[in-house]
Amino acid sequence: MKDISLYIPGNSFFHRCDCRVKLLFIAVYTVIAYMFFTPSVLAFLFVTAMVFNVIAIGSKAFTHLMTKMVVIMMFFLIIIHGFVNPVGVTPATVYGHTITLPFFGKYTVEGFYMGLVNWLRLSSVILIAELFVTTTSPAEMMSGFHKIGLPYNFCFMLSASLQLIPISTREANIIASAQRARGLSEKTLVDRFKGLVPMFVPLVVSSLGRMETMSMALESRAFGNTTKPTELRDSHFKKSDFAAAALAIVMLFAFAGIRAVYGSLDIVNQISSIRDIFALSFIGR
Amino acid sequence: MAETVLEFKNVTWRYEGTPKKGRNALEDVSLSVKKGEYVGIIGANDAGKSTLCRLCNGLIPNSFNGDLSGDVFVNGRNIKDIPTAQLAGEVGSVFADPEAQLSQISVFDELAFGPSNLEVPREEIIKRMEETMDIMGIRAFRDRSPFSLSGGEQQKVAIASVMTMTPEILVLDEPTSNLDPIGTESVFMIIDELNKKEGMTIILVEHEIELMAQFVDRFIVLDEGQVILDGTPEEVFSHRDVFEKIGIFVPTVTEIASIADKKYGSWDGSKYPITLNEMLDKIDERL
Repeated sequence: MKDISLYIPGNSFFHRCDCRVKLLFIAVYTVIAYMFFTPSVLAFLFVTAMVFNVIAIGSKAFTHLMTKMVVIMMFFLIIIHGFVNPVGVTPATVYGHTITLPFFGKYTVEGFYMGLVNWLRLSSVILIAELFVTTTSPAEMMSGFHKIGLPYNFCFMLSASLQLIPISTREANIIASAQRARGLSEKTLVDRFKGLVPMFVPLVVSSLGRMETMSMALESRAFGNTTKPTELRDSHFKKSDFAAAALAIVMLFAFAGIRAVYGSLDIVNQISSIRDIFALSFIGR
Repeated sequence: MAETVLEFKNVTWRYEGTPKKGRNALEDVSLSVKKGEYVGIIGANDAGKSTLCRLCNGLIPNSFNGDLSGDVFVNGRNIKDIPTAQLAGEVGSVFADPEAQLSQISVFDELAFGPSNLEVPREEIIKRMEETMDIMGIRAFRDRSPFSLSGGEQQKVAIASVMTMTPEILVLDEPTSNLDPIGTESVFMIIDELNKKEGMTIILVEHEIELMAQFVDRFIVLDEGQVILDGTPEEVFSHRDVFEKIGIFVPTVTEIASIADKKYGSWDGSKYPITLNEMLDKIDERL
């Protein structure tokens, strides 16, 4: 059966890292990403997140589902913002030409800037979250959620539903095959939707039956006896965990300091061409 | 004389919502099971076998609605007075559908689930898991998802996940009904080992009468909620008329022996064999 989790087993620094530290990194990256409005800081976050991913899972970091999502977002955010963002007034010139779309008007410099910043923001957060999901096994994730204070029952529910998705999919396939064997027509789209109705009832009924056995089995395994079951995994911070957590906190304070002194570094009012954006934010003039 | 670990005293149970004309699921059942005994429970569908199992581990009356009269004692304590979770540590239950009993992400977590709910200390859990994995032969699956295993393997994991709670009594409600013949046989072997080597008391509900006949010490036959036969396999299967009436087959070997007896009158009053080996011994004796 195909595993539905995005976890990639390995033994990198991040795999050995405590799950709470990785959650802290997500929080710190998110806060920093939304403190600034300049491509330079955000590009720094983006690059470091990507480097972390490469350290953790090697070349798979470039082909992972979430990385692909980031690339797709790049096209959509930057293009759409360029045409529709209301801040945009100055038309951008690409090799001396302006690009115009019917109904949307010109592709603008400010729009490009907005798109770039927002894409970098979102993708830094997505990439650091990718680090979390690829290096944390579902079991660790659940115990991690429990450790940071989510109730045990909720964590159990989460992991149990993760387990149920592939089972329900398989069950649905069996039912669909049975219906097809009895002449279910699937020629047109309407037929397909109609076919969902006779599938739904047996699926629900069989799930309910499964739930009954499951609840009995859980009760026979003393589920509900305690809200603090014995923690099986070592929950102590190692030295490396402390170091990583310290790095995250130092980053947070350093960027908070920069933000306090220089502001969000928004340069949208100073730019008049795409070249300006890179010159102003990376070189400084 | 071994001590009694499980005792039913005039137990009658009626599920809530049973129609007025319907009968009680169990009717005045009295029986006692001794420590280390291997009891097989057989009966037609709807005879009350599962109800009996649920009573052993306190699911009835704690999780099902209905009317209970009479008492069930586990180790001398009334199940009404023990919380279900505590009882789970004394009476382990295994059900028919192996998949529905498993809920954790890896086999490792599955085995730890029961004892960690009972707040057993970590070192103790690890120790028990190591032992159990060896007994059940599931060490190779330690880190796999329970849902990626075959039915027989899943059922072994389900039994193992109960074993780690170190129950004294193991109640199995048709544990092999979803398994293929090989899976069925391996589950039977394991149950037998738990009984013989670990001295665990086993209560097994099954349809595989021929296989059961090889292993169990005692059969209890249920019909319409009542115990109609109770005794060693030889005693029970000598009542062929009763089995015919309730619609259960006796082992083929016994059937053949009785037909041969009727036709040739050659069994000289001795008991009919129950297993193939016994039959072969008998034939050897004669020739």
